[in-house]
Amino acid sequence: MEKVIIITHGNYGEEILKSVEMIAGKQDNAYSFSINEDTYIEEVKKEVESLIDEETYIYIFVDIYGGSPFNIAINFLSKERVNIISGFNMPMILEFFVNRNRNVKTMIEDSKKSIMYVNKEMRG
Amino acid sequence: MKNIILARVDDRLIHGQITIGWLNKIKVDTIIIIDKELRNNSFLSDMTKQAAPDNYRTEIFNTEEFIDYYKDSTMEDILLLSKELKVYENIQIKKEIFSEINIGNIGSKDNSKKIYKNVHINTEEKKSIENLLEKNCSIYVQMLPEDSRINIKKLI
Repeated sequence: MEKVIIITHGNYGEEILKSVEMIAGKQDNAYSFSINEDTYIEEVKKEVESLIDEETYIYIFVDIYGGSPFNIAINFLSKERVNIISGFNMPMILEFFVNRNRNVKTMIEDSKKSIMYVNKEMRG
Repeated sequence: MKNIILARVDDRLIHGQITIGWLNKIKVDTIIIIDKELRNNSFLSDMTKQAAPDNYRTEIFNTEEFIDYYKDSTMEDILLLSKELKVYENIQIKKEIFSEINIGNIGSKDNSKKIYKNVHINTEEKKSIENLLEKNCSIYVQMLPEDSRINIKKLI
């Protein structure tokens, strides 16, 4: 069993999940949390905690290193099956759902490759 | 001498509004978090320090440790963060350190009342505000440096 939890500033994560589902179809066990100005962080922390159990592999994606979503995620870093990835992008989430890549290291490396200066690539 | 550049109540402690918003506008040497719970959790305090922006010293203290640290004569500009108004109130009662306090984020909880978009206070916090005002400390709500300051007296 595995779960994907996306936590971001604003509705970015919720929307990225929708965008990914447009391509990859509806995903079970995918959750998103939007941190808005009036969001009570402790509340989100509790909700995320309720999704985590010993048996399930958890992949938490947060938008930026050091932000509030990140601060929520690191509360669970000591749990053995929790993986936290910061600075995620849409290709990464797609890779996760479509190619079912579960190797976090290669997932990060591959997603970096998706960032390119297209002019240079195409014009040589 | 310790110079407190910004003393802020923010239940998110170090986060994007601080690292990207405030730290680009104010110049400090050290970020100090006063939070008993975090202080007593060595794993989380290590994580918090690691995640804090480079180029700043980061300290996590309880109230007593902060008061001791403040006495130290080394010159230092400080950004101070705490989740709770109560922390500032307790310090101010012992020693009138603060001339002003910034309120950033106080999330809603049971029995709290929304006084501004991201600020919710309960009766205990209202009492802390009154005590701080009485102890010569002005309080204003301002989320980001670009926002205008709103005097707390206008909101409660």
